[in-house]
Amino acid sequence: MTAPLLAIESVRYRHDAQSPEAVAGVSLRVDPGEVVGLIGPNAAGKSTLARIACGLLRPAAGSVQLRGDDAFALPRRERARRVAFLSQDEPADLPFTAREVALMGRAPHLGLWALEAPGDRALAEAALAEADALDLAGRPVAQLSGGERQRVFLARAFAQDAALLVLDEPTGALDLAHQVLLVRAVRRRAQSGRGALLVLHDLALAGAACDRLVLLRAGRLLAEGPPLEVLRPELLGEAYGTEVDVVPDPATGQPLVAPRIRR
Amino acid sequence: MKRSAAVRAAIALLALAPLVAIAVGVGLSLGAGTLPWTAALHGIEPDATVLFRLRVPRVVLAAIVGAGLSVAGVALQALLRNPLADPFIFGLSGGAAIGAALSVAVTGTALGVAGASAAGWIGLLPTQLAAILGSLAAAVLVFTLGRARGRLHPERALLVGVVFNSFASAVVIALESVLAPEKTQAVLLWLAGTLGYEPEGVLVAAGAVVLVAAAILTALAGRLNLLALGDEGAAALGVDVEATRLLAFFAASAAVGAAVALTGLVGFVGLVVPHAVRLVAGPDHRVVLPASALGGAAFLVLADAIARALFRGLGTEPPVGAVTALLGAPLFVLLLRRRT
Amino acid sequence: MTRLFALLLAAALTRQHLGPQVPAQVRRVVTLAPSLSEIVLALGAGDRLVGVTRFDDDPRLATLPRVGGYNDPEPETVLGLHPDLVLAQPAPENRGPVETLARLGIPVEAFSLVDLREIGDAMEQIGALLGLPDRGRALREDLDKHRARVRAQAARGPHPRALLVFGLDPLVVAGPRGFAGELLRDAGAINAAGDPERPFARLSVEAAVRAQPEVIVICGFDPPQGRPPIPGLPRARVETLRSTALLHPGPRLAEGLDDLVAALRGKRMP
Repeated sequence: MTAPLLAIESVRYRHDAQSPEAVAGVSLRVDPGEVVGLIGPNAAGKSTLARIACGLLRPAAGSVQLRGDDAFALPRRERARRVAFLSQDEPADLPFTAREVALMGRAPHLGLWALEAPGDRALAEAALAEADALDLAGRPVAQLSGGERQRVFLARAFAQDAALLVLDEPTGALDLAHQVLLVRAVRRRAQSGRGALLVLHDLALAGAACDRLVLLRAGRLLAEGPPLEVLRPELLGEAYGTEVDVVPDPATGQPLVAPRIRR
Repeated sequence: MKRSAAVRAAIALLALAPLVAIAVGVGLSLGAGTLPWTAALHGIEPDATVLFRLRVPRVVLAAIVGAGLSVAGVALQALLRNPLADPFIFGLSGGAAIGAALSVAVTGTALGVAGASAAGWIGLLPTQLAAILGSLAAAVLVFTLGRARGRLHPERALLVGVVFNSFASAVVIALESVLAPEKTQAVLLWLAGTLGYEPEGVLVAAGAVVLVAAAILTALAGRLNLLALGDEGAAALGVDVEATRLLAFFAASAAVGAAVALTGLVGFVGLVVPHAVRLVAGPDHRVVLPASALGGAAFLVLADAIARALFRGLGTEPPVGAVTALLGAPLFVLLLRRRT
Repeated sequence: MTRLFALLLAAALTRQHLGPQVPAQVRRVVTLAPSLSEIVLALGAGDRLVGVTRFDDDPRLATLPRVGGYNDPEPETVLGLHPDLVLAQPAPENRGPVETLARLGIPVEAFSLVDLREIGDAMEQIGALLGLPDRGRALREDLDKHRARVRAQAARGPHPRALLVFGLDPLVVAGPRGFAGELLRDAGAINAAGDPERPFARLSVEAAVRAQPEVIVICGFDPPQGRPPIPGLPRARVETLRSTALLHPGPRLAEGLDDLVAALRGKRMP
């Protein structure tokens, strides 16, 4: 029985003394081979929880374990070797080329002088290919469009070669084809024993991509389980505060969610 | 760019080495008078003294200061994520200026005599010791005030530094209005940046400081690259952002402190050499840092040689800081136009 | 041509009168330079001084009010002292304030003190202005005689190559023109500074090294410790004159000349 890639136990977090708790006692886990989706309305605490999962924010209470080890006791580079993070707002004005940014993903594996070996460069190239960003390799990131940039940052996360991927709204800027590509890449990695925690707004995509969904609202866990169990009109209506319809996809049977808007 | 960073750094260094050699050659040839090389190399006085005890130490000093200011400029631009940062921006120039101005003001008084003895004992001039102490005090002040909630905030430290520099300017101007004209001139000249003739011990010490600082910063170069991703992005890739910042800040401050103590405020080098290097070599700090060290050394050696040679025509030496600006600005514009 | 022009200009600037006429009886004098104060004191007219600069450090003037510096005499303060005469050294920097004083109705006499002839003229003329012409002439003659005595003694030799240094960073030395260079010549030394136009000239360190002086005489300040004052000249003998006698062109130059002679011979002077 291998240790879970991520085990979060009853964490609580508030941004500062005056604000309400952003995360109020949430537990969640990601096992090897799993793709877990984190869904919920704005300010539900999804991004905060994602950062806690990566060891970037320290919870006031509860524990975070990566492969059985306390995430905050691990040396920083070891932690970065176990979990790769893609934020919602990566910087747009980088002077580096796409290839150089992808190579940055190898940083946790490099020595004192931070010099990459041929193996690192090969991994970065492969990561660019996986994210369909190979043709962007020589271009400065600052000159790319939002979607192209997103693929480069994805390549960086892939190049990090961590068992756990934590991606915060990775599909926001991507077009349909690349959304599918991303989901396929993540699922493929899951097949080889890795895992992912995806923060998603797009509920249909969440339903199609994830093995399990975690529904948050105002920092608390509302529901957790396979998509069919979580993506139900009553639960979603309560969480999002608006009426939704859920219908099965005619081809795959996966739940498709649509907000009910009467004209 | 499919070549590794190590290869690109090596290429940059190989390309710059001849530039440094040429600059050194020019630096040794130009001076307030002509130098018959053969006579000098055969030990004939006074040519031998002029070459070995005057020009060689002067060129070495220019190289050390040029390299130190340039790597400090690179580091501070990375720390602040701001291409307009120069090595003096954190208040170091203000602290050194106050130190130097005060030391000139108290010459002849009991305090001045005591200070002169202390400095002489270490092997420095009183102005130099005062400048080092001044910039040290400024660095500590900026570092302390720039902290919030236990972490160093670069933007906050920058604000403190800029305000402190203004304050220091005012103090120096006030001092100047009280001092005798000769002393005022001494302060003004120091502020404009001049390269003098330093004894060997001082050169070795300064060279060691700059070398160690440059080595530390080059080792941090990979992490400095990652800082471009933001504090969070860098931390997610395993960088200890706070420690990297502190180490880079102090290494850069040490290099600037050594430079300022010896030569006053030589402007322009630390701001422009990093940019010029980046225009040619790209943004990777693992290449930019060593390349800036060599580029800065060559640039200042050349500027100083020109400043000294102008003595023949003008009867006086313009401060090297004026020459770096006069020389560097058009050069930079040229580079900029080539690239865009 | 420029030489001629410069000479004419110098003659024109040697003595300048500004403002209303100097009264026959001068009882209240303000000086704008320590040298001029020294001349007044040497004439025995120290009791007529009512205001001096903040750089005057003669103990006899300790109680007098200060009117400013070389380049920034305060017109209001000077006016408040009701002087009959203001003595000044002309310079581009203090031209404005000095002309203001003249415009306000104060007689101003400006004396250039660049070389010994001008200094002698000034001593004589200030004596005349103060109603002490004999004493003024005596001051001049005493200085001339003293110089002649020293020259006679020095003629016997030795004649060391020397640099008379007034500043180190930048290097400022006395050229042959100007009172300091003339006194150096009186003392029998050969001025290693060449022949610059100005009385006090900036010298490049390389030129100083080429000139190979045997003696470096430092005037009026302490050189840094632990290193030769001029790099590249480790074997030159360094003498330091701490008194300000050689810095103030005036009657104390006789004393300064003696100090200089002793320094060149290698006798330590206070």
